[in-house]
Amino acid sequence: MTTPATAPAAPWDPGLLAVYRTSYLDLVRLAVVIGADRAVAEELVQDAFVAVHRTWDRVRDPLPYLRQTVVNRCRSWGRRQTLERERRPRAAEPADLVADELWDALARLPERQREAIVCRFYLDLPDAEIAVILDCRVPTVRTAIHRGLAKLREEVPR
Amino acid sequence: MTDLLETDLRAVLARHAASVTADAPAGEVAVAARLDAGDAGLAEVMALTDRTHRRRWLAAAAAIVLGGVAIGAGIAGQARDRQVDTSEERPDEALRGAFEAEGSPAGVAALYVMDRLGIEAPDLVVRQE
Repeated sequence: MTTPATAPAAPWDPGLLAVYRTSYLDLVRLAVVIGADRAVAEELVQDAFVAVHRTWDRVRDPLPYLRQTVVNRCRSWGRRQTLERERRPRAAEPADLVADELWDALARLPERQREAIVCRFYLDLPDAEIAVILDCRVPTVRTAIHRGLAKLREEVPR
Repeated sequence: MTDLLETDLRAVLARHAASVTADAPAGEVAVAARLDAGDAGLAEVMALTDRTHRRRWLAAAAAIVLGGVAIGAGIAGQARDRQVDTSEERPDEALRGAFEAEGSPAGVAALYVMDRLGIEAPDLVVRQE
């Protein structure tokens, strides 16, 4: 019989578990609209919770920290996928989502512009909070949004 | 003033986000299992897997079945401590009841993952004894 050195500890900090239960789906959705594949989005968010758990004692405001972690992990995953994406057409969306040139154009934006636009127009965050999530300065956020919108206007005239 | 592009952006992002569903309880268990496995256990099972969703589930189960981590080793010990008769037809149900009664998320998580992956509790208990 293998005897554990210590009794199994309750793995979840109760505070983090509460955050998980209120924000898991929202974070998965954030990962998807940033550009992660759906199956991967859940895994990336789980990774984020595991990572945040390690530093939980030092986390004062978990949601921005989790969002930042999710965005970072999406970015890392996206970079690994870049070559593959260039060689392969984008995976078909489910039938209930019609082909959407704006969604496709958004996916083609440089990552920082796409992330900034998602934070602004999906999360409705102010520039200062977006800057925290993207780990950059507020003027950089404004520039990214401005340039991203300009590119979208070029590609998808309204 | 909000222009048409911004309005459409909000709509398209909201529509795609709303189409996303996630198995939150399953994710909760997966995170719990990984937390319980610890860095060493996680590194061990990660070495066996790649980064796909399904295989991450298997990694969680592997962490349990390997017995090198607290959650796996703890199952058999807790079955013994709780005097659960592992010769019963469904010892996992008896164990689950015992874990739930005392609020042991690690134990419940282990059984949940095992159940999802079709791992039999008796196999695990025998393996540990």
